Amino acid sequence: MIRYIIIIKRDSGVLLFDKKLSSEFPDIKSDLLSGMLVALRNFTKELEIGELSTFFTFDQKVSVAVTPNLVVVIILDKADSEVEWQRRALLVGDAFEKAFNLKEWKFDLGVFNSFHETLSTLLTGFQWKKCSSLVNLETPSLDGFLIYNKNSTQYYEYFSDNRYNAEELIKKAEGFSENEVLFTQADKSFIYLKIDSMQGGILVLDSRIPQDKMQRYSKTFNFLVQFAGKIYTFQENLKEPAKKLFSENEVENVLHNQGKPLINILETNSQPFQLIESIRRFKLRQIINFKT
Amino acid sequence: MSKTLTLLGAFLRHPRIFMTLIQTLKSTRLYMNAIVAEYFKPLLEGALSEAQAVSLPELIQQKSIKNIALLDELVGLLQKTNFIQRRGERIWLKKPIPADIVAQTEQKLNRLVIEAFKTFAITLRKTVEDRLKGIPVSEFDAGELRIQWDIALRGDFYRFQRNHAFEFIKFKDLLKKSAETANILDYGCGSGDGTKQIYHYVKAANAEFNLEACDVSEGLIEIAQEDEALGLPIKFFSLKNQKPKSNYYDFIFISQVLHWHENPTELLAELKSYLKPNGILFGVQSTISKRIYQIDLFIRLLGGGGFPPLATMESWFTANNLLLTYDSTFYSFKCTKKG
Repeated sequence: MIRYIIIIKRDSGVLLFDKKLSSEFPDIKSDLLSGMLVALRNFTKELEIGELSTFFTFDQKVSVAVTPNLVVVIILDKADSEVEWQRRALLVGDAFEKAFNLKEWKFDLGVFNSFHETLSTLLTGFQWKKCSSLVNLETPSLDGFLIYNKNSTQYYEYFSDNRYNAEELIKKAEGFSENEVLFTQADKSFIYLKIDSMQGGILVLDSRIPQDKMQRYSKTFNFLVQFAGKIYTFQENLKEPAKKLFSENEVENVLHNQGKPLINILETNSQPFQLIESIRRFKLRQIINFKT
Repeated sequence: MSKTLTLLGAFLRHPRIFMTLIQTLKSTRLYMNAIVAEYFKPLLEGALSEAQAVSLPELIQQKSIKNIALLDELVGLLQKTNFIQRRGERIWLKKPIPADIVAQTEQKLNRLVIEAFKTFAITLRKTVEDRLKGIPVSEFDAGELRIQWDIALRGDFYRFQRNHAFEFIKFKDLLKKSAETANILDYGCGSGDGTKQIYHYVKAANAEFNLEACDVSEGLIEIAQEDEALGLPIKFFSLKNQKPKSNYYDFIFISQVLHWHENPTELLAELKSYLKPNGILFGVQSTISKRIYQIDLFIRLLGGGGFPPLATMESWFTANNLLLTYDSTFYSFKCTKKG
């Protein structure tokens, strides 16, 4: 969670704007702040525009981002993803530079008060937004899954009950350095996936299911996360050959759902995960193609 | 005479398998004949007598045909099947070709052939035209060919051949005798159905084994490891990225692969280098004969080199100091790398 944000003029080190964003965060005394600013000024002299850096204090971590005229400092909890927040700090810096003509600034700090509202809007945009509706999870061995996109800060969550905290799961997924991690806790297996720096997901299964079944679930989920927002087209000339490999019902179902993003298919079908598995198998055989 | 005796021997040893073989071969002949006849039907419209005959040079010009040898071969096939008559450079219909000749023929075919090859029909119509025009073949698994090969290779047509090859070397007995873990390679595994067949066969023998499989087609390998054999302890790899290990395998299995390679002698040298001393190379490889001419034509149209005559096949093995044992009825073969 973001606790504090400070915006400093890069050339002079003058504090332009600061805001406490958490009531639990202690007030920073002015002498501590000015000491910190001096330290930051020396520290950031070496940084290039767009460059990022992070250092740790006892309880928090401090992320620093440099824009052409500014240094943006954000204080976060240790568990927060600094990579993600550094990216956001750059967005805050860019918004500040766009809002004010810093080259002609006449040392009046009052002009920056209007940035409080801009910052609120930006921070709301950074919050995770749940976008999913109800999905019928067709098998008891599948506890549910979650797909997230950091670019849009949206997530789609489909669990059979509300025992999981989506933001905690995302934070955990982002904390792993590997792209795929299997983590077993009691009778649940968690598969944490990162497709790229922006997209990921978490699949929760009954850990007692056979290994081969788990592998198939994992492949299908990986596919779903990768193509969540994409649409496919069915190669009509391969409809008859497809019936040699798949049931008529499967072929018709995959054909019927062409042109819809996978995430929508998930929400509008009675056996969605099974259908996504069929779509994955059709794609392997190039019976369907995804639009790039 | 000796060929007849060989066939008789095969019939007496495996009567049911032999009958299946005969039926499938007959069906493949009928099917390819129908596909070729269907291509020529519109070209010979109205040419019901010699007086109305179509001139081949005119046909060549009109259809921009570049591969004259193939045209001659296809015309020859239709003459043999009594669809057309030819005098010099003129051809005409001996009997009308039904508009739905392929569909009609499909009704009469053996289940194995329909299962494996029916989906190729659309591709073949276009392929005949492309090859006649001299348009080069596409990749082995390009476009719709990927699913067509996937269907064919998983069907009983090929399963039956593979199973016979296992029995031909008494695979189970050899595995049971083996004191160490047997390293097995399925070379040219396609979409993995044959590899699964090997896996289940070897598992039933209660042998310790390590099974690997490779192919040049990355698309088919993807189907194998991401779907067909997902969850089975088989290591798949693409020959475009990786070569099999040298002096490592106790058994290498190849099914109908040699005729797809530009230089089968070189391929066999490579395969031999992957075998341990006393390792066995075995599998299925058809050799050309009248009874499988139409399958050979099918393979050549799709870009394969065509089945070799038996003497040519033997020469590939001899050049690599490998003594070939061959079953010319079921096309199973084996050889051992001398220790």
